[in-house]
Amino acid sequence: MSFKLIDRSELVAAGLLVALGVFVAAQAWDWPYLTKDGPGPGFFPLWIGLLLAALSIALVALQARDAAAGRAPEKTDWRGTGRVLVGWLAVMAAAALLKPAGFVVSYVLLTAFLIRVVFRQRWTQAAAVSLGSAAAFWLLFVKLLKVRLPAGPWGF
Amino acid sequence: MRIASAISLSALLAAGGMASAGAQGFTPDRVVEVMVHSGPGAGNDVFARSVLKVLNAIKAVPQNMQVVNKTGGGGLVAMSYLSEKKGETHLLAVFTSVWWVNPMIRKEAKVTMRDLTPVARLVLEPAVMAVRADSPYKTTKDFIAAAKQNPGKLKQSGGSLSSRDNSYRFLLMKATGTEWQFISMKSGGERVAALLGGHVDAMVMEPAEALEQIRAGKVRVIATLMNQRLASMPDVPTLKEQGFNVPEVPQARGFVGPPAMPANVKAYWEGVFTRMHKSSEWQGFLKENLYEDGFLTGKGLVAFVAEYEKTMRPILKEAGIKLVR
Amino acid sequence: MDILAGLTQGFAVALEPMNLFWCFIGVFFGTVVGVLPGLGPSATVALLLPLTMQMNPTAGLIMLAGIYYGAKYGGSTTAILLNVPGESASVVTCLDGFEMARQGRAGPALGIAAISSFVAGTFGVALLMLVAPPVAEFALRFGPPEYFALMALGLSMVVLLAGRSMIKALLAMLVGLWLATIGIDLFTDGPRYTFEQIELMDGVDFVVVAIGVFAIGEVLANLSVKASGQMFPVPKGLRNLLPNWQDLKDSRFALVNGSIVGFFVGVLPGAGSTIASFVSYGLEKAVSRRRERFGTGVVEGVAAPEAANNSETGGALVPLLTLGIPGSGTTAILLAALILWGLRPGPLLIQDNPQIFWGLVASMYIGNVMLLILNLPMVPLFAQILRLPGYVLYPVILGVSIVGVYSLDQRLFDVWLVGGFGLLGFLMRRLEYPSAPLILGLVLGDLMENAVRQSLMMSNGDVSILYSRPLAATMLLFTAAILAGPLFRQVSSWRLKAMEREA
Repeated sequence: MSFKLIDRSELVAAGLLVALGVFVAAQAWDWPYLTKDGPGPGFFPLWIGLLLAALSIALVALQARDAAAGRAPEKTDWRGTGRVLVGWLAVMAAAALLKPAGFVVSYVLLTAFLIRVVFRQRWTQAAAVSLGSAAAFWLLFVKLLKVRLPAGPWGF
Repeated sequence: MRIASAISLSALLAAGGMASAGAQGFTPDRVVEVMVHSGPGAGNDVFARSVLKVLNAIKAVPQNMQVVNKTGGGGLVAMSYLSEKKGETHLLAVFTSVWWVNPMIRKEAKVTMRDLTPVARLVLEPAVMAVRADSPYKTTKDFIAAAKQNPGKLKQSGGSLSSRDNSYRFLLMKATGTEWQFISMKSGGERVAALLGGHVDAMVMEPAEALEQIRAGKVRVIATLMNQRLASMPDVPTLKEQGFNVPEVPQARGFVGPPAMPANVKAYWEGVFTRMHKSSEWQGFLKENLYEDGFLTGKGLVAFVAEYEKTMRPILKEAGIKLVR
Repeated sequence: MDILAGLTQGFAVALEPMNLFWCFIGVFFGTVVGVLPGLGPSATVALLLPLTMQMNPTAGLIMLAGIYYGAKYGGSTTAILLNVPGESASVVTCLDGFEMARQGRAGPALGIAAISSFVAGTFGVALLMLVAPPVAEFALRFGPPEYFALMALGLSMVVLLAGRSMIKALLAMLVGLWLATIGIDLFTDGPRYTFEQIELMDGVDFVVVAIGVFAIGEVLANLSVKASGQMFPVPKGLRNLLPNWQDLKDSRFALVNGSIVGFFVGVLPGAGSTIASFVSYGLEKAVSRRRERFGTGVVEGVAAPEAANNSETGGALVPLLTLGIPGSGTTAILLAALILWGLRPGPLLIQDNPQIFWGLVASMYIGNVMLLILNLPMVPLFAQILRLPGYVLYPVILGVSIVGVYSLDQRLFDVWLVGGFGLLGFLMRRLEYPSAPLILGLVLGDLMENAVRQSLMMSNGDVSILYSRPLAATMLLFTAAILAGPLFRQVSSWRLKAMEREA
């Protein structure tokens, strides 16, 4: 077994899945496993949790075997991952803005940020695309399809 | 003198106008939202849309009214949304029995019916007990006798444990010392399909639905679960008539507003529903859907809100449901 | 000849100018809405329901049904172009459809989706017309044990959805199965994994997970590379933008398979088009001679689920019209519409109102033709979307995703959730965990658990009820065969390796 050779992120993922499995099973432990008419509310979750944990461990074992056989893990692209995280945080920030600022403003800010900061395009492009697509969204969903989107204090 | 009488005359006119409009100083000036706690197509949703259809037909409200589906938590999401809209005047919601029951059984609930502004109770929903048309059980007595012979073997399809279907089952089991299974199924479609397919033996049905199945010769109704026989099924005896001492489990539907709804707004909506109640369109709707007229507003409704909780509490306990408040 | 007379009457109704008009409005709106993720047919039908209150029931039903099957045509568009399922049943279409788009074959993929939708949609209507009553009786034979067997068959498809690692596919499915247990337990009324959030009491909406994992996950994965140019190659010339003869030949069996599976699954009140599309894809792959190429952009991998999805419409209308039982979310709204029009949906609906039934059937034939004419010319046009640079397209996908999940219930909670699942989707991509098994587990998980527990309540805990009824037993045998396939291959490959080592 040579855990050192396994991709670190694979190990972390498997670890998280084991933790999830243990959590799922531990919660299920408190609920009736069997009732007089067959499985109770704890039956399925308990097995799901145990299998999650067991299979994650099996996965690591298999990877260790493969790694010993000489398959080297790929290098993580930290720069790319950073961009992804920034993008994801931007999405979550836009979600937080939905209630106070409404959909249109949140969406314009999100889009402009992504185009300018993550995709490194010019400001003019960021402004044009974000304003244009926000207007299109508003017309299509709010005006035409009557979807009730969150509105800011200014009415959109 | 003349001036004084003119004033009193206009006051009189104003009073008359008030009585007919039901309120002073409020008429909706934008779209009125009617919130429903279940998805489109569910019983409540159809009910809400039917009410709006009647209100539209009799032109009771000068603005558009639209249904908004706010699902989640068996009504708790809708209730908490409504409670956040304190004093809002253009928002109503359809209440059903789960608006009392779920706050009693869910500790996640933060709002009860008493925190809101009930406006009008409109219908009481009757229920009947149905079996397949080729079933050997001709009466409730047959069914109970079979349940006695085979304890735990007969099956009834229904909704959740806290539903009325299950309350009736528990009450009937307790009254007769029998026991049979309750198979919870998610959708109404599955429950009826299970009955028609012979996978279960009985089911609590709405009369309108049962009547169509009877007409097609698919089911037989063995009991009316109300205190009185139904006008639409005059030949079907009640449980009491068949010798089973089971109380009626009422189920009501109506409209409720957000907390602290201004008095004149509440009066306006009461006026609207009062007018609707008198209309022939509404009476036709009640008849068509085999609902019982349950019209109630004002003090009577407030009393009902408190009373209903008291009625349901022992029934739910009886059915083995844990109450949290 | 009853059917011929009925159909003649039906076409007379459906060809009335106003009915034709409403049919067109329905299918047109349906396609538009189907293209937009999140906004599903049931939301649109509900949206236009108040409008139909002024119409006569026949015209109203023609229009609402048009939205229903029209939305299914549109659902595949974003699945193929952007890896964003337009509605629940298009998740499976993403698998091969998006791969085709990556290879510059978006046009043929969209074309084959439209053609299979048309063929299967028409097939579904034909069966609805010809065999509705006996098929409805067949559907009633499905009790909880049969549903259990069907769900087991569906879950066994996981072995066909696995990529390089079977264990990762199983792990993804288990996470899906766990997500399916979130919410109030149907049988005990107690909450499971709700963390005291009322928003979680009804469980996690499948659409939220699908859009998060597929759409947002896809966008995030693409942020790691600087996407400034156009997304994928789009070949010039109309001929390369439509399916060729070979594509059609490759999909002929998928069309038959999807049409049949879709219809029969659709008839069952406790199953839906998502299950139909998974099962037909799995079957297609199981019997295919080029099984290993599924998931890399084979055309029949698009044809089978799309056919199943569209044939399902005809099936789902069977219990509604012959028994008065809604078989899906959308048919429940159609049922509501019938009640609101003052009709009495029940087993006698067709007998009492033949003009409605036959008018609807005839209009569905016409509507499917309209949809084909509407959608095929759009294919080359839609394919051009991929010429847009990524920095325009990706933010738009995010916007559509947010609008889509928010429009489900107007809950901000769902927007948070979709963001979370987006991150999960990205991580799954990065670590090569397949996402389709996650969706499979989520869709089938609670259906299967419910079916097992219902069955055992029926039998007072006797397990044999699950496999002793003939229909259930047959489906379980199928399941065993599907599970045995890869196991057998695995074992034989181990044996080969072992023999090599010994030698």
